[in-house]
Amino acid sequence: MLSFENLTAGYRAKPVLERVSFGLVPHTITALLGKNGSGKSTLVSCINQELHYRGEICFSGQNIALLSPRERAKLLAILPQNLERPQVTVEELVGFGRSPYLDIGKRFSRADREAVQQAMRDADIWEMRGKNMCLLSGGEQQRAYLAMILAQNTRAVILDEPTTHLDMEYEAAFLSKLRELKNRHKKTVMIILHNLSQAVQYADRIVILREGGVFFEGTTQKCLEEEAIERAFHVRRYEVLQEGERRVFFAAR
Amino acid sequence: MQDRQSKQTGQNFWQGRKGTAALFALLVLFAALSFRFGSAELSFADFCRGIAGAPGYETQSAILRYIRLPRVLGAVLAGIGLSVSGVLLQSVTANPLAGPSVIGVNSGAGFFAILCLSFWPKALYALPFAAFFGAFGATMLILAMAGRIGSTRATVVLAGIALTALLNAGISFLSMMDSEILLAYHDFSAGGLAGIRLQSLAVPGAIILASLAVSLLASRRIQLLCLGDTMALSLGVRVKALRMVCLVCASAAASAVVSFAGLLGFVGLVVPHIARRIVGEKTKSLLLFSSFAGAILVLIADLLGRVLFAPSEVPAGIIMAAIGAPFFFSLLLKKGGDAHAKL
Repeated sequence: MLSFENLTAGYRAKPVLERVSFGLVPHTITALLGKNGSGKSTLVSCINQELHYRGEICFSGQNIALLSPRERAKLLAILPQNLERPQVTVEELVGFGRSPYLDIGKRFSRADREAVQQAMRDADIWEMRGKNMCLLSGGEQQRAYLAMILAQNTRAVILDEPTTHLDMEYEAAFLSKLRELKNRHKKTVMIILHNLSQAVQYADRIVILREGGVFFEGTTQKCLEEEAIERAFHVRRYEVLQEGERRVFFAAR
Repeated sequence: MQDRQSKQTGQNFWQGRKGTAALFALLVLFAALSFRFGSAELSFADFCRGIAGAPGYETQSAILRYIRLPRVLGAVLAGIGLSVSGVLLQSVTANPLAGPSVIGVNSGAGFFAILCLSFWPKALYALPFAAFFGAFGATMLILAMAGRIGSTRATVVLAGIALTALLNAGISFLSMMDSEILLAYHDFSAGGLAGIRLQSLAVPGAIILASLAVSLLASRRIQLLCLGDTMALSLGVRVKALRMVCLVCASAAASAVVSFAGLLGFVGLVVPHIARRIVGEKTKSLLLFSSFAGAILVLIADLLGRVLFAPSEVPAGIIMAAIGAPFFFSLLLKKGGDAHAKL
């Protein structure tokens, strides 16, 4: 699966990530946490080959820098932080997810159409498939983009702060849907989140970046046991037992 | 069933095969009208005999073959070239005000044309070549600069504006030196299709049609640029390479038009917007619709320019602005209230 080995990257002379090494575990959701400027989005830029870096990013042992963009796009899907509002319908947007599989001049096959339809059903956007993207709310747009990367049909999915502009209800719904899809489609997900409480609730594993390196890497359980989030972010933990389920919240000290 | 599906997918009449056929029919109609009518009045019988090349009708035949036919083809090619250029530039720069003039086509062509006239005042035949090389050279310079500092959306436009200012200063300086040159340059800068010869259309025509073909083949990839560079790259698009291909096609097509029609403004900027409002954002539909609409617009402008004040002639560029701008205003007013209408 996706692994980072001695990754060093930055902007101009200033390194943001220094010798970062960790790997994703198949069929899990890994939350990538870190303060602003800790290098989370820089890491995504490196995966997308937008930024020069030293070290290696490998997918199942293959160095992804040696793959063509189309080959890479068949292995991992990336949802960046800032999404455009294109003047296309939801169905057309989801159809863009099939681009890596279409040669120049090739038309949509029956399999492509079925993949698009299935992705729209999986992301619960079937009813709004004919709507223009510009007319959708923020939450609906995020789900449309989620359907697009589902149609891309990759084993790994990278999401860069997908819930930043969503209210709490939409955020919870989006993350629940993501967990459901991970279980159903056996996806490996890496998600950058700012909401620490949501991270421990929905992620199987946690990676915390701090001062250019990996501060913590492990299961969510281990993260809570070692109080890694409290130490990294200087926050206090609160636990609530609600209908037999333990909920964890973090607040600034 | 098909209607319901079209409604659900947002496809309208003009995006389908029927729409393309209707546009083609309109193009043929206006081409035929442009061939039939002109400053020289020909009766229908003379027109038919002229086409057939009947003995005794050599003059009519010559008018049709050597004056009107090249004009019709020139108008169609100019419309296609400028529209394709405009669609490509607006797509890859994500700038609604981008047009061939923004990437230095007009100023490059103008500067080289006036430079040519300064050195060889009698060499009017060399103007098209000078204009083509000037236009293409200027855009290549901009692309080289943009490639060096990173061919992002903004750098191409900013480099274009800077070079345009420099070349326009050169044009003003050279035209100050000699008033006769200024007069010759004025005809070129107004843009028109008078005096086109069939032979002079062969190379520009091939360049324009090749640019259209490449754009159509890459249309699916070009469309992905509307998602932003990061998203397009993650979907497997070689963003920088694609942007360069599009810019080369756009500049080649516009330069080719400049070489035989002078500085025809307006088409490259406005036709893509008209198309966008009618067929939406799908790049393939935009390219096809814009090509037909651009060709029809130039045909109408040229025809009216010849007929309205016959035997005098008004350059197509002036007529085009006079009929195109109000039509564009009406589209703005009609769809201005739409939440997703964008200019």
